[in-house]
Amino acid sequence: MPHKDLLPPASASRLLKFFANGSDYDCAIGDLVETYEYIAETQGTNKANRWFWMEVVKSLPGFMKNRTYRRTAMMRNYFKIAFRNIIRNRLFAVINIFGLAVGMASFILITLWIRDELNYDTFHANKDNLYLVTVIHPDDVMDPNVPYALAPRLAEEIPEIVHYTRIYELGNVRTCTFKYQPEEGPPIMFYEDNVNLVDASFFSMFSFSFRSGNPETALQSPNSIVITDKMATKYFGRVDPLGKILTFNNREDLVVSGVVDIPSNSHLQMDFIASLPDRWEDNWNWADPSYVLLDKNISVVDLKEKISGSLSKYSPYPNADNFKVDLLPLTNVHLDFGRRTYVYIFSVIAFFILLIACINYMNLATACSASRAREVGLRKVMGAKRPELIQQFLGESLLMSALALVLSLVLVRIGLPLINNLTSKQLTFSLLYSHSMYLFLFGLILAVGLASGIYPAFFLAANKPANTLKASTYSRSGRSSFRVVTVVGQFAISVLLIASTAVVLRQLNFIQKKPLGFKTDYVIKVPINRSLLGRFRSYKNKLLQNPKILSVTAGQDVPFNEDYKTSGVEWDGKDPEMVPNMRYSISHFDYIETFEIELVDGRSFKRDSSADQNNFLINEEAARYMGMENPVGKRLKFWGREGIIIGVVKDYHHVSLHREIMPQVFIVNPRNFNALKYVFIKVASENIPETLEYIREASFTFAPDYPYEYSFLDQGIQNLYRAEQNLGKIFSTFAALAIFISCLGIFGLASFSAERRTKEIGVRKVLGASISNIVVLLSMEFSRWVLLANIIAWPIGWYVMHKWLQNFSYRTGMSPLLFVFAGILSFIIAALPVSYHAVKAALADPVDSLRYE
Amino acid sequence: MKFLSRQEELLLLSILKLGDTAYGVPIRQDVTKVTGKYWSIGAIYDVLDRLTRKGLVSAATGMPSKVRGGKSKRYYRITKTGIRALEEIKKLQKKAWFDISEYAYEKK
Repeated sequence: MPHKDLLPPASASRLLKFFANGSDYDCAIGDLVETYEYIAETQGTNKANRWFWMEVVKSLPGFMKNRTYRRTAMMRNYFKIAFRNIIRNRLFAVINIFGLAVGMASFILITLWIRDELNYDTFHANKDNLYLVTVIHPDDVMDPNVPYALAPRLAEEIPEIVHYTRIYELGNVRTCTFKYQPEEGPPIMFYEDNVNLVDASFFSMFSFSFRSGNPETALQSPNSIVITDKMATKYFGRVDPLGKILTFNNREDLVVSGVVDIPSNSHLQMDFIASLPDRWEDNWNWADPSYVLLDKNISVVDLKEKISGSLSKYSPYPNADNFKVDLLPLTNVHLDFGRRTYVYIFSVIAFFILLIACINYMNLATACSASRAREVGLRKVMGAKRPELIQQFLGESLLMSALALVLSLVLVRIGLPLINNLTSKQLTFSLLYSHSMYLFLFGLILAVGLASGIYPAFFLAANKPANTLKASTYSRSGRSSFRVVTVVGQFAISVLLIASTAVVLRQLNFIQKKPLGFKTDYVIKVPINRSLLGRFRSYKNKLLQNPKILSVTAGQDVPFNEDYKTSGVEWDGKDPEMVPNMRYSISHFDYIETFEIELVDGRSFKRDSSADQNNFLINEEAARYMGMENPVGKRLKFWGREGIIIGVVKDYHHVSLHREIMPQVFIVNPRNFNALKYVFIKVASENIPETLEYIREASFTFAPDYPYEYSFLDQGIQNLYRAEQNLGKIFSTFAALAIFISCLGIFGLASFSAERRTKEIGVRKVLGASISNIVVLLSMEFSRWVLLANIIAWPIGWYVMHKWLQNFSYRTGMSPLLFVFAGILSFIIAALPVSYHAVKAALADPVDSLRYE
Repeated sequence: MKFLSRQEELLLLSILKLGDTAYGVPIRQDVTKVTGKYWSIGAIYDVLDRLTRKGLVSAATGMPSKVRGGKSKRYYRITKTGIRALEEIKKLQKKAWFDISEYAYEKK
């Protein structure tokens, strides 16, 4: 007699149940249980349990074989029907697969891009304990540049800081040249921008891999320098650079102590790395990025609190109270300084494009439902159940989705170079060859297949056999509200993208066309060096001897990106408590003239006049800032030196249009001339190559030991807005793609709708409707939807773009015309496919359309 | 018509032998005894399903009983087609072996 204890192991039973599901196997399970009970009674439960497990494991292959056989029998039919349907509705299938493929390809490309963005700085072994020290300004702006003295002071005070390093961006403030003298042949020399001085702990904090040299000792000696791979090739070619001498600015001989490989996904990009001299320990005036490595086991929140007031504690400046010190995790640095918005924007675009593609599928699939309805009816009559039908249609959409993925991979392959070009990244197709990406692609098939298939599957499976089989011309005209909603949604997204693109492009155009207040046409920029600077006057005279050279000057930086601020300005009537924040521009004589900056009052500096050495020019904003009605002739003290304001220049944009014009002081004091970085030469528009050759020769005569380089300034202006330009391009590309996919959808729907109304059109024509009547009739339906889509999209677009424009201090207004334009464009785009079909249907001979019965 | 496979033949013979008591457990016992080999339940049912599909046996589900974890037994009975198939395979066997003499056998 069996008792309760004699039950087979539950897990084994469950396994069996899972594989041997269905009534057919109940008896098989019963058989096993029966035998189990017998063994348990005769030989004990332990043995029986073991036996049962063995049995289950051994039986599984048999059950599975059987089960898959049964499934595949129906599956074969499903596949056959799916392929027949694809072939029968070739147009729809192509539209569907192609639309999905384009959507998926965009999605994959954007995912690759986003993955790359999110992977910045993740290769450092200490990535979780590395922080950038930041200063939060009173207006909540996060500043990555902190005074040099801060990090050493913090490290002294707080034992949790294991290491710190500051980065002095030398190349930004001084002209840097490097020279390598090979054993034979001419010296190899270049100007370099990306020269950085760091603390010796730099390479123990960041895990940059060394091609050669030892990271631990590379920066120990003061005259050693670490260079990147690229620079090694540039200077040394195939020679091993380790131990070779690079001469810095013709003065200092530095020994190459390492060749480092800095990956492109590091936000720190440096060409030359040398060690920072100790004398900077007490410098509160200059600010550049500082990084700290924290102990693994401490609470960062507590530490943040501890250091937040440290600037006011240590800094000798009275206004330091308003600034807070904060720590930013290294892996956030890249995103937090400008990239996060783009990551968000592109995620949304990727999602939208995929959504549009899925909606297309849904629309076309439900639109074709009439032709599938009879199949569904027949299947139901033959005993198919609803879940089976849903499975069938979901399977079909998964099949489509899988086909689309294959095509999309081809598109990704084609699209990658374009994306790399737009984003200046090096994404490769091989990024997809990883387990996580396989999983991602598989998930994409599932997600797209299910998202686009679920509605049509339920919709189709809900057909009632009696209805579908009864009438010979069955069509369900009623339930189209879902289709309307999706088409409207799709078009709303397209309109949104069109309008956004238009705003971005308009703002870009605005930036590029806006008069900046100075002229850079035909001005070339030549890096200055000690030899040129020492004999600047003779050099200038030599240049001016050529009648094609109109003007020569030198400055700290290009006039459109001059961002040097100081608080060292005093004037009569200044509130003693106030700490001024003004820009200053150190230049040589003729700066104002070379760039044709307009004077509104007073005069400019007299050329080479030593009397004007101590005098100043200010801009209008500075006059307002200092509260001077008639500033000319007033006294001003700059860095402790007193002089007279001799003129006022009209405000011009000395930084990119993201930021506002600030009060500015111009100085031509020779004592500050070592801050000059570039010679600016304005040349006549004719015979430029000859003039350039003349400048080159003159430069070599005056500075034979230095390299010579030049560039035109206009290009530099373009570079200021590269991020926006790329955004503009990417926006237009993806907007075009989204619109293209929507178009495919509308095209499919229109052709379907025209087909469905063939007979109606025939009847109308017989009764005397003109072609135009019919075209209007067919187009009206779509026009209504597109109009609705516009009404939805406009306010959203207005809001989003309003937010984006806030990034710019100087921005174009958002004219309603832009939205009207987007609306009209969407109408045209919708009208093209629709009217194509409408005209085709209208032109068809009614005899043909009415005959088919 | 396709010939029976050896597995199908063995199972059909078992079912024939067992008569009214032919369900999973005894069939398996019998086949195991005859062949001296291990047969898993899955393998048995795989063949039984095939036989059912081909119409060589008919299956009838009995009342569920408490003894077997609440699962019912499924009894199998050979059909006329099944018997014909068995006869055919037997004939084939004979024909195929007819010309093979003891002598030819030993020569190898």
